[in-house]
Amino acid sequence: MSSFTEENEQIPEMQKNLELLKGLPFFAPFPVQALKILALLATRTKFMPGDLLYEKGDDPHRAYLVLHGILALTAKENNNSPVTLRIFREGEFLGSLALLGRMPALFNLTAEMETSVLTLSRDQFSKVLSQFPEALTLSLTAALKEINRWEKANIPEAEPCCLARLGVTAL
Amino acid sequence: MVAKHEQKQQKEADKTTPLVTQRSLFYWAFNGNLKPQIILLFVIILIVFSRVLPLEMQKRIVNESIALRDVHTLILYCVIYLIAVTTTSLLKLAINYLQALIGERSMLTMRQGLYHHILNMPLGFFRTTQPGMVVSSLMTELSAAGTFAGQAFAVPVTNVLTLLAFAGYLLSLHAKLAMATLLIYPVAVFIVPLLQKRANIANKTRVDLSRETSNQIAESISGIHEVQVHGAYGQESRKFDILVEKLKKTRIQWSLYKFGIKTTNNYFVSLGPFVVFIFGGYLVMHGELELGAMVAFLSAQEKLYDPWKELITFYQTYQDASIRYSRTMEYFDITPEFPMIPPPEHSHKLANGIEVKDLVFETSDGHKLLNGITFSLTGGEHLAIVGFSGSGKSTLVQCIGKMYQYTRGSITIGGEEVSSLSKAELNKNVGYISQNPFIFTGTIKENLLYALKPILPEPTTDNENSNVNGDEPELDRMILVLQQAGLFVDVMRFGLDSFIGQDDSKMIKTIIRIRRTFREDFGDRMRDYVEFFDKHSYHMNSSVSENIIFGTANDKKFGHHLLPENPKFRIFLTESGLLQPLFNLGVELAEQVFDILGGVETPDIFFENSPVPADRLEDCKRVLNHLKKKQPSALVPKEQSFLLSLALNFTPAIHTMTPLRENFRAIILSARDKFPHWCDRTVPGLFLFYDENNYIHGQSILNNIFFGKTKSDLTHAQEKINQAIIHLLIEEECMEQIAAIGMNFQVGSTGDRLSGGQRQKLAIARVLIKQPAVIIMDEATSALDNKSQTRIQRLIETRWKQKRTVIAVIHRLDTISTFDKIAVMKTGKIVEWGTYSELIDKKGILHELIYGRK
Repeated sequence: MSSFTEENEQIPEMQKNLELLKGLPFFAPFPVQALKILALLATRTKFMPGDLLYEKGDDPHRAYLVLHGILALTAKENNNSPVTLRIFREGEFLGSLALLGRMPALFNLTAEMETSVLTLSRDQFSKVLSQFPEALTLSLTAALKEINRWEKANIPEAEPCCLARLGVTAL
Repeated sequence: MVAKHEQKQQKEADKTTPLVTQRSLFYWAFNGNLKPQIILLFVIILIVFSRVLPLEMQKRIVNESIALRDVHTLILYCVIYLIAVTTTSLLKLAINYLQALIGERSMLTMRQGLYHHILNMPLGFFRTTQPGMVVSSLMTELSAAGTFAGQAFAVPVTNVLTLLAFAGYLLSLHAKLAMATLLIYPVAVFIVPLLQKRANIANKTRVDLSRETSNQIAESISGIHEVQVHGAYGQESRKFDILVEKLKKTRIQWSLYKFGIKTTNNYFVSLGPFVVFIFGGYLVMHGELELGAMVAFLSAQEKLYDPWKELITFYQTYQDASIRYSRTMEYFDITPEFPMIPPPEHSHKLANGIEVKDLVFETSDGHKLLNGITFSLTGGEHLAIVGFSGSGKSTLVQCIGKMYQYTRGSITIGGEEVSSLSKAELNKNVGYISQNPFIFTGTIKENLLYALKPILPEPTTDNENSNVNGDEPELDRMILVLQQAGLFVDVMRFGLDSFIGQDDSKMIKTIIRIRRTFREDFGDRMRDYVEFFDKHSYHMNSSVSENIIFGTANDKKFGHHLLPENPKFRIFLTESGLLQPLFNLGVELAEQVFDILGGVETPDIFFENSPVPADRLEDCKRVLNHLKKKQPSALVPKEQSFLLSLALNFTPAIHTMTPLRENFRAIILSARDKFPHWCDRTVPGLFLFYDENNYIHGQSILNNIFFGKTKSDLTHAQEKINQAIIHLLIEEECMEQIAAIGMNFQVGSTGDRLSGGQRQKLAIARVLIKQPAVIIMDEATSALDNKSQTRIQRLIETRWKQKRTVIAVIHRLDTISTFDKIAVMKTGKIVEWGTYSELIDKKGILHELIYGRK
């Protein structure tokens, strides 16, 4: 038991981050050298229940990997109570598009419970891209793949009325 | 002295004197320099006399003293000779000093005049002018004109008089021989200007090319981001190469002509002695000339050469200076569009109704950016201008703010035509917030008061004891404005991140008190965001050396960055068995960093997360190479210190490439226990150890309140900390003091220590503090986050409605519904006008802009 914790402590945080990043489709194709730097720059932080990560209109400028807990993407129109669109649980990654460029958020992101994340900012990501220009193409490809997968998954579920809302992949 | 000078300038401006750019070069030499010039003339007359005297003495020594063997007169003449020569040197020094004095004084007034003029030039001029060009004009090109202004009177007068005196003296000695030798000079006078003309052409080209080159450099440097991001090094270099190549050719040509003039001149002058020898020699042989007179002639020839040479050089300097001067002045010869100084009796507060009628703005090439704009707003109404980019929104508000002169039509504010209002009157009544505000080097406070200062009454400088800041607004008002603009929390943070003086015992006491309250009220809640100092635990957000010492040194030699080289500290490390573990850690860090950043082209952008400083990656590589063959303890002292510096700087929370091992943590903690005892023995009193009841100098106010350090600089953590601290500071009635400290925060060159949002908030605050009747916002909130934007929105809605007229160019359409009127612009015209609901109901262009084309 004690040997386990001992050993666990011997693994540097950066190494753990590196393994996590390698497991994400968005980062997996990156050169190892670039991933190592990303793993060094990434920070771990904790949110309390109800903490707002960003709200509609903000530039999110960060990507998050949920390490523990739950993040919720919510929409709030006028004075209605918020509607939850999606839930991100342990191991889920969000914000890859925010890393690529500035874009005002359309929804709010809040912590549902005490949640710890690994996070990377667009500034940090761009710094790494400036050193590894080939990674830009890789990340674009990964982002497109993700958008495609997302829409594909939505086609069978969409009601006929809502099918008209699909088609983002044809833009 | 300066104030006097300004008064003089003001008087000049009032008399509608010509622009500084239309002054002749000679104006600067004489204007305000009359007294030194007259003294100069007097000295010159003396020097001419003292220059001719030695010639006469020479003649008399040969003809009278030597020929008649009269020792008595020989001594007398020699003494007179000596006195004359000494006086000449002294007078020459006096002339040089006076010249320099006049030159510097004229350069000063020239620079001040031109700079003042440039600041008032129309904005359109600066769109095509690079700052570097203005710099080189003011600093380089004008300095030649200044040097010339110093010489403008002295040099020609001295030398022409000297020449005339020598020539007169020679003519009196022997008219025929004198005529023959002086004949050379008219020939030179004929040839030199011919060459000079060519030199001038080359020089004009050179001035223009230099300006073009400095423009090119300025452009590339200001666009360096684009250059590097597009890899356009080649293109930029080529543009530069072509220009400097041309410049080189022109400069060679110019030099050739310049030296051509000198050589021609030298040649003619050296013909002088030749004439004296051949013609004078003949005359002496025939008894028509005394030998003494011939000696005097020969010396005079040589002496004639000096003033002549100086005249030629002066002629060249004049040509060069007048070209530089006229080229520079022509470039800036544009009349300011708006009179700057208000007739004081007219300066008053305007009413805030605005009427715009048939407004047209045409660019110089006839393009109509505004084409017949008409609308009116009653005082206190709020107008949002929306529309496509390039529709003339910004041009419209810039015309109302009198940044550009409109071509036709009228704009009235409070019934007064904007074009007839002075700029100062307008500044008092209209506040303009731009999209990309410029922040000036200095403190937050200086920037906050930047727009207010020009409209405040001049502080009286006559009384030395008078408070210079006498008219500064109250601290309360500044705080209120910062709150309204949403910059207050940031300013508080700047204050909290500052250091306070060791002697500020009152503040220190307050902070210690706040520290206790903070720990009691917030200690538990903040544990996730703050790492509190605790004698018995290792601090992950502090370096190894901070963890060992747990205190601060009174001696700079024991500062953290110097510890690795400090021999006494090294003894402590050895004694407490830390040296080897630290070496091991240093090696591990060096290896890790080299593995991660070794292959990166510009590793310095990642230095924040690296224990190895940006410029020492090469050292890192060398040390690692040496370590293949040697133990760390066998390395040269410099390399040992390097490894120690890595280890002592290791901060586990930041340098995540290496873990903090359990046994290492234990050694460091036990070293922390031993350190105070060791200090008592070796360096008593040098260290002050952290204690909950003592203020820690060398740590920020915030860290002192915490008695710890923040764990994370992420936004949500910072927000929680800010909330807690500000709440506490208000309770402890210490908020104003910290805000005042924060307002003295230096924003860096052009505000680069502020974020884009902070810069924009500061720009909003500096207009709010003016309390203008009319506020113009040109996409003024575009760089703000959602919260800050909402805050400004609320301010406009609740505080300004019916009080201040607002005209806002708005990019984000979700914020316009609260405005009284909406104007939709397209190609220089208002195509839709009305209230929000009217326009939405109409389902016209605004509807389309908001909801898109269905």
